[in-house]
Amino acid sequence: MTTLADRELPVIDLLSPEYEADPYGAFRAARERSWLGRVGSGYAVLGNADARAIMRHPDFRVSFAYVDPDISAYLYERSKSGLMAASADRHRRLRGVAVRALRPRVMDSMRPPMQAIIGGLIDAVIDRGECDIVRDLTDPFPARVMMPVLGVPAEDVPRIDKWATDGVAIFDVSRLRAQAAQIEASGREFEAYTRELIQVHRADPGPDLISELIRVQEEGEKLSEDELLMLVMSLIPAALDTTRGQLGMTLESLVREPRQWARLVTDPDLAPRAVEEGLRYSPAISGIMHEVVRDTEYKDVRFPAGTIVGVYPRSVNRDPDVFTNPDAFDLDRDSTAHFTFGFGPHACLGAQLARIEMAEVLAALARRIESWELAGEVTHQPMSSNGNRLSLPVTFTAVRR
Amino acid sequence: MKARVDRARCRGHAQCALIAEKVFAVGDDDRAVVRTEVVPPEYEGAVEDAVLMCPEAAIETDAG
Repeated sequence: MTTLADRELPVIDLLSPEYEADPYGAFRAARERSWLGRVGSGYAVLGNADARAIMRHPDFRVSFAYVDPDISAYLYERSKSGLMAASADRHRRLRGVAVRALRPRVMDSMRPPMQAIIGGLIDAVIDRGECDIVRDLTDPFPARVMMPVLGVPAEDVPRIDKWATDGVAIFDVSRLRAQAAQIEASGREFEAYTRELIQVHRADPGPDLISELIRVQEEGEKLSEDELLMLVMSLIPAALDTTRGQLGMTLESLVREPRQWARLVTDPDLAPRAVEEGLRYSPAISGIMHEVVRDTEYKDVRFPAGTIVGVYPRSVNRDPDVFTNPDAFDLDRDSTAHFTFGFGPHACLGAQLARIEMAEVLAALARRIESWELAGEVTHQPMSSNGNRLSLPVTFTAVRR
Repeated sequence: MKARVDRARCRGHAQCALIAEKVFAVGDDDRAVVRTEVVPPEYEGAVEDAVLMCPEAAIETDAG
């Protein structure tokens, strides 16, 4: 048994130019030396089987403990009140409330509006032979699908967009430190907006998720006003930012892999496989952070309480022990052992909905676009953050109809 | 009530086995199995919780 201090672990510098240029290579080099590495915030789980074990381990809990009160007292308090930080019983109750609105039947009923929305976005660019995938397709799509479902007026989307982008900085400690004042101000604006939105729906309920949560609250479920606020504030950015981020990543991978795209064109029913492989191959999630809740041991290592341990999908999704030839985008593989949606009690509650959204987009594109090529610089958020694509300019050849 | 696990969707998060241990277990292949297909009435509430908590929406129930 060794303590962490005794061990020489590979260091992954998430803020280095080398990591920014090739995060997968940086993780590969570290993973070849050890299942555990060092990062700025603490430790990184690099191997797939270890990620699974740690995320099921009762002494490792999903946590925002890396958000220090000295960064921002407001963000610190908020990070502690969220769904991700809730204790087991409270978490189960709150999550159950949200999941009720996301039953499989409800999700299937959303396919026709999704198809209409992606169809309209493709119509707008199809005759031009060029577009920016991010600006024209993947950014607008989740907002147009999800805002009516949530009960958010379409004209509020640009404001919410900014709040959602700033809101997910809570997952990115380096950005949080660098831009704390802006992120806090943005969080306060979003909170004020959400409070007002809840009042509007309480006075005039509709068939949307926010009204449904209010109904659940009024029907006597133990849902306090703050919990309702917190749930709505969690759901809005989750519905917007993560789906568009992942769609941009997956489409970039497919644009760079013309043979895989050609297979999708031949058989658009492969779209769910492409979605799953995209989640594995190019995850739009940097790290899933855990806090060690009491002194514990795993494998031959002693972890003191309070240690921060992240699971990094860009490493564990490419572990050769689980995926043969892991650095290839391959529609034929079983991709499901990825950790892009997390794992265990806090696994993404919108995962099924996100899969359906992404599959509808890929299938619709595969029916209309024969092939595409990059036509300019791909820009993106830092890879130490989630790495969302900000522009993805392409030229394309439409399918002749 | 009857309970079923769609084993193609299950990824072994093991939430069902934590919430309704009399009804679900994690099998040798690390995926969930139903221990008792016909759910005793006293566990129906726990099974409904498990349906809601399953990250893969892999649990189905029907009356009967």
